[in-house]
Amino acid sequence: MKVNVMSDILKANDLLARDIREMLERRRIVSWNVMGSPGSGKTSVLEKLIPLLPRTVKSAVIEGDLATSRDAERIAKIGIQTTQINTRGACHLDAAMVRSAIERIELDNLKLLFIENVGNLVCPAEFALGETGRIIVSSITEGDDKPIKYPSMFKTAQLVFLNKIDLLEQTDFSTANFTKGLKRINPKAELLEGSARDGKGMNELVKWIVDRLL
Amino acid sequence: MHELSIAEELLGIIFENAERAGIKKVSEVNLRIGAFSGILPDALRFAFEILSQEKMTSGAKLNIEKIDPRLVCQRCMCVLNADASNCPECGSEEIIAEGGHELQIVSFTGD
Repeated sequence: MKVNVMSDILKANDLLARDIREMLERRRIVSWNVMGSPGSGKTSVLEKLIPLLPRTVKSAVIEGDLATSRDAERIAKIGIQTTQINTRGACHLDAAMVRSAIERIELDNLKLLFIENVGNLVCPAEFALGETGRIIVSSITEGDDKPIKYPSMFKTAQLVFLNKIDLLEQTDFSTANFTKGLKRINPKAELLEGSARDGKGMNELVKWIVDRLL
Repeated sequence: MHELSIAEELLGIIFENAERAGIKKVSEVNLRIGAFSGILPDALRFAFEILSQEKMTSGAKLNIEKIDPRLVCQRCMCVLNADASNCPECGSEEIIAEGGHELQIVSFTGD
């Protein structure tokens, strides 16, 4: 007997992600899936950005890593709600993991939810988490050809934050090449640059986030 | 890349549908996988085999149809037969690759 199924194999994840997204939207919570290579500065950017947000904008962070709770501990020092997902080997977060993590967060009065994904420029692109949109943290030290080398990742981003510009002179990074590559892969993506370490560009990032609150 | 989690999802879909249809043993599964999906058919077969041990899908044959993206001219909407930088019909350079990211289960057979 032949059974016709005709469905996407990852539909389970997509359906769960859609439920999460609808639930967050009903509560007027904007969520950002923060992605990038290991060491690109995702946690550092969040550490710098969150204290600069207006006091009235309550935020929370879900941290995703294979192991340790180091990132969650760093964010927790800022004094906001943080919860850690340990994927124990999975190279990306998925909607089921995010749904469990959200159950550990007090959502009342929350306006912003950052989901820091596992450091990885490949796998997380395929898995919707229920986010409003995606922010990729890319850094000078990774080279200026990452958008064209990792198109499936970069074409899904609403914003690319180019980090570590304080190190520009120590590298052969060409901002022009990076921008050209990104435009080719994702003409709609916005690009901001700065340094989480010295704070450059963080005010512009804050404004970008605040402008998109519900 | 994550053929293991995909194989897990795939088995979940098969078990659910098999239960509804009263199927106890699956002999064949038909998939459509896009050339740009990043999924390696051999790795998926391997993961499927491992996860199927002692399950109703053990020994089932996995048929994988590879789906290439279609090159479509954005100006005259014609579909190109081969890769080219200009549309053979209208000469436009605006050619976009559509599809090629499929990851679908079409059907399965069993009794």
